[in-house]
Amino acid sequence: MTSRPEPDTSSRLLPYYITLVVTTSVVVGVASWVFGRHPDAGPLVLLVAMGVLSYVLREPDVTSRIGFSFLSIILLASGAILGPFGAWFVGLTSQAVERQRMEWFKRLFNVAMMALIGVAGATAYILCGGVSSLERVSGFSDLALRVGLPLMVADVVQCITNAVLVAGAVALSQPVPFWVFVRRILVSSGVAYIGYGIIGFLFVVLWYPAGLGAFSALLVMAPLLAARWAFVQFGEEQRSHERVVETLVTSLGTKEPPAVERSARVAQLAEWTAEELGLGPRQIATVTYAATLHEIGHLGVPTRLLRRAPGALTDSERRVVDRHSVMGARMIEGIDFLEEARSGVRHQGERYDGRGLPDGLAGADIPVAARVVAVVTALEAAMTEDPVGVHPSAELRRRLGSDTGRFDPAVLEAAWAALDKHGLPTGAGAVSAS
Amino acid sequence: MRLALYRDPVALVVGVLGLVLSVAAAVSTGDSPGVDGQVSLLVTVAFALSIVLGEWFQLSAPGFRGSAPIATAAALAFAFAVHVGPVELAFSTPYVLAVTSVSMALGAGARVLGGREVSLVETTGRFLAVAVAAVIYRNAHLGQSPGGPPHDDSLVPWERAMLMLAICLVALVADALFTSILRAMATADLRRPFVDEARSSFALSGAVAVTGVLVALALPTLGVMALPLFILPLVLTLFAFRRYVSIRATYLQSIRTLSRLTDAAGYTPSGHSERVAALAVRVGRQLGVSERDLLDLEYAALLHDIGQLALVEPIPGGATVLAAPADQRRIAADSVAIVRETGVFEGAARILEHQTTPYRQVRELGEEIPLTSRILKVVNAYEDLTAGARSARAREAAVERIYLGLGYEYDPRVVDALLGILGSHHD
Repeated sequence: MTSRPEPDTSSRLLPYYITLVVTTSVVVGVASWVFGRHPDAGPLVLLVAMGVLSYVLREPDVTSRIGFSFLSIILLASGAILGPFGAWFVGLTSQAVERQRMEWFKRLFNVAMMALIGVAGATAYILCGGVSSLERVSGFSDLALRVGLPLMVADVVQCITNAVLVAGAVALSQPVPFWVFVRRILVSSGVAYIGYGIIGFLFVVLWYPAGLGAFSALLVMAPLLAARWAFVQFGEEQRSHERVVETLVTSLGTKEPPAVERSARVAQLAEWTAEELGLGPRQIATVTYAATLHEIGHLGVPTRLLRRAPGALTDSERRVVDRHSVMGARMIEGIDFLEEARSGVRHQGERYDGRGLPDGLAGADIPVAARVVAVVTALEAAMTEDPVGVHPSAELRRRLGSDTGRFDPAVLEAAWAALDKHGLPTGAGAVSAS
Repeated sequence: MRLALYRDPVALVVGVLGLVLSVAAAVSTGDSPGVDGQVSLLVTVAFALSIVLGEWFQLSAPGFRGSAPIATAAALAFAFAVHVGPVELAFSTPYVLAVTSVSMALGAGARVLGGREVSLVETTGRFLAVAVAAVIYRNAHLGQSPGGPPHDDSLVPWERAMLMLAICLVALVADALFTSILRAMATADLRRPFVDEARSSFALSGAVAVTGVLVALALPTLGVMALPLFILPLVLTLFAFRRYVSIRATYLQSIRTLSRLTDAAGYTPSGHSERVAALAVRVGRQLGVSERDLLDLEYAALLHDIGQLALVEPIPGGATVLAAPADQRRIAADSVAIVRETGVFEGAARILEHQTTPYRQVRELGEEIPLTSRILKVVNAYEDLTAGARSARAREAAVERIYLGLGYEYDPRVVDALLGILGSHHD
């Protein structure tokens, strides 16, 4: 439920960002000790233990970028039960037990961020009139107004703080636009993050008004574990998609080994281009899947034709090879999550001016995935056949631009911009859509 | 096999009996809050509504025990509900069970009318669990007589929580026992259904039971609002369950797609994998393979030829049985590699690993070859040799070829089962 970044070391601004976050976190922590209330030792120890547990039980990195745990719920409850300093401390200590090795600056950033999220929630709670002497609250309306509502606000504040801090680090280390990433986090897990915040409220109610005390921590583990399971499903869904796509590419690889690397390079280029075009998370995924699978139809083309150089094919053989896009789209029929990507595979041979194959679509009628695949496959082919270093030469730019009517000019521009920013993909990492 | 037919009527009788008895008991003992008990009526409406809705929004997925988490949690909480806010509720066990059974019947009835599936066994099992919980807590522990007030047990909250959790455990065991006894009537083996039952529902039942207890514990503080508030996390988890089901669907779809790839690429005759899968499952069932292994066998059969994609030229007719043993093994190895790539079909991959191993290695070298692999080998050979033809001549020719390898290539027991099925099919 908490998002953590895996920053690269590539950016020069990143160390400054991490220093800024860490310093802010320390200053805020000290301030909360000086101005806020001091938590009782018993509840503090218990919540720290739960925080550590949540981190140990976290879903080991769903993608390369985001991992899940129910720490956010613990932080939320800490804000009400312990106050700002307590919540800060729970966030700070949550990563005390670490199973895997992580570079020290990543860890430092994560620790500082968790502490900040805790303080942010606790402060929002106080500002919205949340009470600190929870023993004295009774009755539903009192609980709802003076505990429930403030906790809800605190929940939203925590979620946004988390998303913004992570997106900041990612935007600096990898050239993903900041808002693309914020949106990606909020869309993928924001609703559940906020929804499961209710458990934090229930935890508080059980602890004080219901008189269960520390025992409530044990009981509340059941909904917390259910929440964890639910969050694992988010990751599993994405992983299942990646696995299915990878398996299809592997199948293609048994017939045409070079296709695997080509598909990875094209997919990476397509993902960058889609990000550059400002598409939403779902569409970016569609474009990436279509690009990864754009040659899947080669499975239906005789191997001897695939092994021959394109120039050595007769016209009829050429037509057989060109039919691969239609065949590929038919092959992946019946897999629900690839439904949109399918049209991207089918229409990759269309021309922007409407004189392409197989259906002669033109302009915006061509699915955006197909327009992107058309551009990035042409780019990839040109640059692999004639390696020009990391950045595309002006010569290449002119050559691709000269075929007016072949490509969507906006997509072509976005692809050039992506290439300028990232360089040519290596094809090492296979699929990475989210 | 025939006994299985009686499963649902038995459950129906038990369920209706529970419904009638609880209502009759509530009426005859006068155990109801009456029109004066406004809080009690409000509580009744809230719980009844949750149970009806919970029965409507059931969970079911292949390989998963059907359940109605929200209904069960609400009903358990209702069984434990004594104080709501400052008010003491004026009813006892018969009333609780009458309201629960009527609500469950309404929910199930709505499902039937809506054309959805209802498992009488599972619905009755749930009611049984609630009845056990109510009787133990209200009658045995609190000494509450119908229509009478509960005795004060002066437990502190955490002790009460422990007690309720223990009662829930007993109730859930009763439920699992009931369901597995009814299932065991078909197989005459009680242990396995019970273990399967308990294993497939353990985590979810745990969350449901705790939710019920939490609602009951929060009722004195939060009033009726405790019900929707504490149920909410469970509702969110139901959405996650839907996601879980769609993930499994994705894998199944990918298997179907992968199994069609070799057809589409012209390596195998159209529909070959599907035919092998259907026949292999029938042979497996005949030989008493468990349902879980049958699923793996089906997947393995659907994917068994995918390694052929690596061939430059297709084998004539896609018949691997005609290929050289070394080629057969290479194709199998490629298939295994692709199936492993999914990371979730390990069972199918294991079957495929032994797909080409001749049966004599079991006899002569004592090698362990799974029965499912032997089935796949025989069925695939048969399908390859008939090449989809269904004529008696094609069948006899194929059977003759298989007989030549009997005991050397093929397991005679599997061949017998195959012949039995083919015979019953055609004669």
